[in-house]
Amino acid sequence: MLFSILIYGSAHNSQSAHTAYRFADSALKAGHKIHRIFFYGESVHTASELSAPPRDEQNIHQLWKELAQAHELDLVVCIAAALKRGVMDKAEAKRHEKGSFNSQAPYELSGLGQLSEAAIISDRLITFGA
Amino acid sequence: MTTLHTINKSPSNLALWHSCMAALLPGDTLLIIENGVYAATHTTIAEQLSTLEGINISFLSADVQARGLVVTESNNTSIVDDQQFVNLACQHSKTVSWF
Repeated sequence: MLFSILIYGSAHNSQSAHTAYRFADSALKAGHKIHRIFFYGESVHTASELSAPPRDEQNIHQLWKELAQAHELDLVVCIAAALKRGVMDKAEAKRHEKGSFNSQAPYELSGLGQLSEAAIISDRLITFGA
Repeated sequence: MTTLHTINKSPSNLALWHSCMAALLPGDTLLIIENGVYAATHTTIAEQLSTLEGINISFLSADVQARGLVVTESNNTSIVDDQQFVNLACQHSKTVSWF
């Protein structure tokens, strides 16, 4: 089965990205495919590689990154939600004349069209609310 | 064509729970996740859940354990793990998330 996953919840103030991660990991282990993970709203903070949680806490940024690299997942971050929260990649930082950036591959900033496409292509779209 | 509903808020959000329960149809599954699992300790909601006919009620195991709760399984109530969550998503043709 082809899944896509939509995440709303903040990386550090909600369980959303963690529950979604467990779901994605379980789906992949069961032999299913994942078309896209879409980070929306507060969940875009997951894409910031400058977060440095204490060692006894899960690093959700790193967990998704490793899962994406192992399974070639498409991690898409809503660009509008990301930019206003200060989550940006090198190209967007340059475009907005910022001195630094905090997000890079496998996280990719893109638009809501990617969510619509995922909903159309996938057999199931599962939402993990804030 | 049945639906998998997930709900992740505790029953202190009564309006959400009432909207969710009103939307359930026979054959649907209500999967209770994250803080939603506190429903097991909420007398009114737990009683309403037990009277829903034709609805499968499931609690996500990791979230129940993380909160130190005890969920009693019955005819329409079960505890499922992450793998079974994936299976439920496959078995139902649609998913609706209440949050």
